[in-house]
Amino acid sequence: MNSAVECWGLTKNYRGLRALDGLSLKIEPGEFFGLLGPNGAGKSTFVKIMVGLVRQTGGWAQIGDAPAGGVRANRSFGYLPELFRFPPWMTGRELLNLHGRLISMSSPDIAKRSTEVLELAGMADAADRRISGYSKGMQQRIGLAQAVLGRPPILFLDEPTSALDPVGRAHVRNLLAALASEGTTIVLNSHLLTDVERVCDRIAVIDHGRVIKTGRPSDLSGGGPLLLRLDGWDKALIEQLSERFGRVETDINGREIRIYNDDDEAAPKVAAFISTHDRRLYELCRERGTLEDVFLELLGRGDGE
Amino acid sequence: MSKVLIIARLTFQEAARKRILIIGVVLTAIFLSVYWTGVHFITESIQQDRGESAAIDLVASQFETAFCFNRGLFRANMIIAMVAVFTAGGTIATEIEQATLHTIVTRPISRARLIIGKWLGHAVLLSLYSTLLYGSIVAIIYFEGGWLPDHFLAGGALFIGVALVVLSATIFGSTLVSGAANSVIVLLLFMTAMIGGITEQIGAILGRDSLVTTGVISGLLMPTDLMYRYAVNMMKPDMSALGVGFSSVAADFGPFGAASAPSATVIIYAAVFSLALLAGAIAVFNRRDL
Repeated sequence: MNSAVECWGLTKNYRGLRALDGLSLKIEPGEFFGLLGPNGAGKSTFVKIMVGLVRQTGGWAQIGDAPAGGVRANRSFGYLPELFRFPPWMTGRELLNLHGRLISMSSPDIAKRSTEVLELAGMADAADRRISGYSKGMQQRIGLAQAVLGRPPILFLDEPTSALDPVGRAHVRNLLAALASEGTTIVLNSHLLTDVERVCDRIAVIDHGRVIKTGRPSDLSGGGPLLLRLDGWDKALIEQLSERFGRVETDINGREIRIYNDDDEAAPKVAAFISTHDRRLYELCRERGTLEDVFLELLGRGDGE
Repeated sequence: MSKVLIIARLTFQEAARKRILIIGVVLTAIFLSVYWTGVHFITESIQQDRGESAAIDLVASQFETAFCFNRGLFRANMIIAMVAVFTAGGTIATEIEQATLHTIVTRPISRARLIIGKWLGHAVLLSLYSTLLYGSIVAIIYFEGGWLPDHFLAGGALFIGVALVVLSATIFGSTLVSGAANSVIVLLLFMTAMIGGITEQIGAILGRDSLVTTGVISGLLMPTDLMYRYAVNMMKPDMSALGVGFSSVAADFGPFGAASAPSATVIIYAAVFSLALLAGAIAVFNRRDL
């Protein structure tokens, strides 16, 4: 089966500036895929090439089995741009009607589906008002409604919650999760790491126009130290732990110990070892960093390379 | 519905709502009122100044009416060009700047169809406007002077043609530069052609070939003035048939007329010119990053 979105060796130069530098990525059908990276990393350029707004300088990109940027590729996705601007003289419903006709939906289907997506986006009450009277958040919602109108198998969303308040963000997150559970492939470009962490199946960290890491959010943010909470410790215990399991850190209150060991088998071995030392073990877990920690660490490493 | 027609309809609706068009229509109404008043008083004075020879009176009356018609057409030609430039000047450029085009371009529609749709939407609007303006002038002349020019329908088609040539140039420019810059450039080209045309007529009246050549060259940059002269020449009253010795300068309406009249090739040239600009607009827009 073809991947939903795939590109290889994608490059893009803007007047001597290299925005993409051999970016390669493969997104499988049904994946909820997040793009992370600092400003200017090339995330938006990647999305713009995939949706046909920008032509790549080199490499290839395809949506399903169609080259990105062509009419055939454009049939299979919905898109909400980072700069969402719509004709201000139209009403929300007229905008959906226009987009429905552009994707060759029948008039009854447009009418029925418009009502559904307006409801989904929380815009049913404002549907017959002019877009010029919409707030930024409402414009983003109507943009989302036009993106999902034709039930596209793939969705490209560039900062889809940038204009929304926390309630609106949660609403959109739930909407996207529902679409993903129905099998829609979603490519999400967002600065909001918590959003990405919560909803995405897989993430690519992009920097300097390249993918520097891909993986599941839990995998990326995993790999922290083992945390032990005991009734106390002595120097001999720490030395023995250090000898057997690797670097050990203790905290100032004398109850928490961190063992820096990535091995998945380390936890049961540590538990068994503690039980032989007449100490009470209250907690043993692997400490996970936030995606933000990972992100900063990766980018720090990326800069150094 | 064809994708081209969807875009054409969208463009028409958008352009028809523009404030500049509403202002244009109001100013056009004012222009037509002033023009009508002027024509009314001129034709009235002709009636009062009737001389002894009925034949000369008839020719004089027809000449004066045709002269009024010519002045109306000259101004209408300018107004049509301005309306074309100001309604379509920012069509692609401003939509790229404001990012309103992004969700449209990413739909399954080729950029070529998008450009053709944009052109068509504006073309329908401008054709309606040109027909209304031209038709009003013909009606005023007929009502006040009782004279209907020969080939006035073909003349009307040429006036619509002027609007479409300006529109093609404007659409091409809007794929290259900003809306404001585009409007200025296209209007300058139109004015250059117009002044070139006036120079050509003066050259023809004075018998100076170099002036005629200058006019022809500037006319080729933007064939709107050539089309105007062709239309004027086609519709001017035939004074010689009446056997009265009018000077050719007067009969050709001087620099606003067609003392040096272009051949019918101008129509082919204007069509090729417009198609080339439209093809250029498609080629540029196809390569453009948004």
